[in-house]
Amino acid sequence: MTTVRPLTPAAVRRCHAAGKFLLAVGVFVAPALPLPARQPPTHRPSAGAMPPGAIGAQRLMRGGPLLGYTQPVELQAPEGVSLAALSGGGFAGGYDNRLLVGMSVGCVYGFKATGVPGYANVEVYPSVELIDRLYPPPGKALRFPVPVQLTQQDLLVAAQGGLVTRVVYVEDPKTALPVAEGDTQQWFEARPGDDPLELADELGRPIAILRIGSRLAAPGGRFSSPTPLAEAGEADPRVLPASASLPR
Amino acid sequence: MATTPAPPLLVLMPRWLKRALVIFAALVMCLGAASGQDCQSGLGAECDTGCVACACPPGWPVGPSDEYLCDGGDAPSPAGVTTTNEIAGLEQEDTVGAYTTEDGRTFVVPSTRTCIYAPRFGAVRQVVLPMGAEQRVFVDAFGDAFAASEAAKPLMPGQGIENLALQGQRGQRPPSLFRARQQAGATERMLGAAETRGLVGPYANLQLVHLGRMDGRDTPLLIESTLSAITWTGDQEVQITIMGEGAKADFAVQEPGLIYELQIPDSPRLRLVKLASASEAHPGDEVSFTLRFDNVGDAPMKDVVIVDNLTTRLEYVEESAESSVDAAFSTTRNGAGSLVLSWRLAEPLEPGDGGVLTFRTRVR
Repeated sequence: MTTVRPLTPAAVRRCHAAGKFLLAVGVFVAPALPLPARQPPTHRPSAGAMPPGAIGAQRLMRGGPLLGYTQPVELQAPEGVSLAALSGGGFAGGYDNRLLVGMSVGCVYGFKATGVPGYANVEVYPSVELIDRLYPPPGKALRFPVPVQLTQQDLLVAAQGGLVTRVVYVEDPKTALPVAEGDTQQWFEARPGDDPLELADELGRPIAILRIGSRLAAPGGRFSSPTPLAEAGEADPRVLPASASLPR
Repeated sequence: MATTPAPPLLVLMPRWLKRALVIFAALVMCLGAASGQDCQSGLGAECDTGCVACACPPGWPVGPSDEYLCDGGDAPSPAGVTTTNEIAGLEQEDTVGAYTTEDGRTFVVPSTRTCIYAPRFGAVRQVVLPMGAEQRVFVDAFGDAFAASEAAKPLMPGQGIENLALQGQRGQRPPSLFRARQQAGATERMLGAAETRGLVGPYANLQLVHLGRMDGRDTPLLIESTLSAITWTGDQEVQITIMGEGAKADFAVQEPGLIYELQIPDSPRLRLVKLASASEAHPGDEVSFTLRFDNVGDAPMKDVVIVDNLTTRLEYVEESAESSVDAAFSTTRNGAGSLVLSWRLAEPLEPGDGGVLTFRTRVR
């Protein structure tokens, strides 16, 4: 077996030049290729001003283990405020200031809040749109529901005719503030020109959108019925029997 | 006729082809390492794309890692030890161990990476008032949003704020009044009783904690509590120095806990077991920790220092640190906003001796 090698000086120089060129290309290309994989997740073109249900529908189109999963969500209102969930043609559920229900990603759920301080005869209609889910360990879903807080200030603004949008997000532990969480969760105010969904996406992972200020109980009749997860009137809905399980 | 063996194919390749193959292999390796960096432990059929070399228990949901507090490892940049024997380059969630060999070389070893479930939520609020508009006052000045319904805002009955201070109460209750009512010795007796009762929590009612002996019946409970303690550990694992030198950590398969030893003959060996009262918690809950240390070697040890760096979400409860042996307890604040707890034992630790350290933390 004979190996034929280019022995002329011109052929040797050409081979060396080609090898050096490939080596140079590899040196410059190799560090650049892993960079896109290290970048943070790209923000999808969604805006907080989109109609209810649109953001969750887009989230479903992106795929993932979302369909068929019931995410526990706990609505928390101040003392004296009664919450009821829109189910079918009317409002059902416990008339308490805390309500634990199950929601599906991509759906919008309507609620009714009465007993706002100073507005005894006014009914406020919040709506919650679930745009993502949690991934707790097996059997721990009911211990860690998504907290959606309706503060007294928000209810007052809604009773006076304003529209309050709250984007609840899961805080990124790498950028978590070393401060204790009190009775109310940490929240930030978005300026009139800012997109609250984009701000929440920078701070963490948006998971639910709360809107308070609807004039109608069920605008368009497109609200879904949440799944009741706890008996009405319980002081702490998280205290559930050990046999309680999520509906699939 | 003698036949010469055929040369390997690699020798016959042109040089440019060899370089091209090396570059191609390097590209493949770089792409694979980058796509697997953010892979969370436990991935199966529902695994996100891009994760490599992950195994998931059956039925375990897999999602983003932002719901877990992860500690351990040494990424992305490695940590090191300075000339003053201090660990430098520690980043958030890093857990490393440093030790020095007999010939003076110092090594830093990362630990395994462990995650616990402790999500925390926040919110971004935006208020839009009806018929509101931005009123431009001057050029480049901010406008104020106003609402037409503001004039019709009803006043809330029964709520008023009195901003004036109560002048008549000034100086009537001097601080020394409370001090004088305390009886001498009463405080010491109360604290002594509390120490006896609260030194070892019910979750640590084990032979290893009380007597320093291993009991096979306690092994499952020890493994569970030890894993809980590991998950609650902060930027760095508990660090041990024996006689002024960094100690080497040994993992034991048969029993939980770490054994620290020096790389010299007849060296003392320190076993440190950390137990936690919970593996998951909500903000505001208290988590108690118990550290059981024993000299399981064949030589006494001195200058024993045990250091625990709390994670950002754990707040040390003041005056909750207790020790069964004489130890100087001190706290220093780390760069992340939490505390570094340190115990320096006053007496040398003889072979077979040990003790218990306890403290409480509150989840932020």
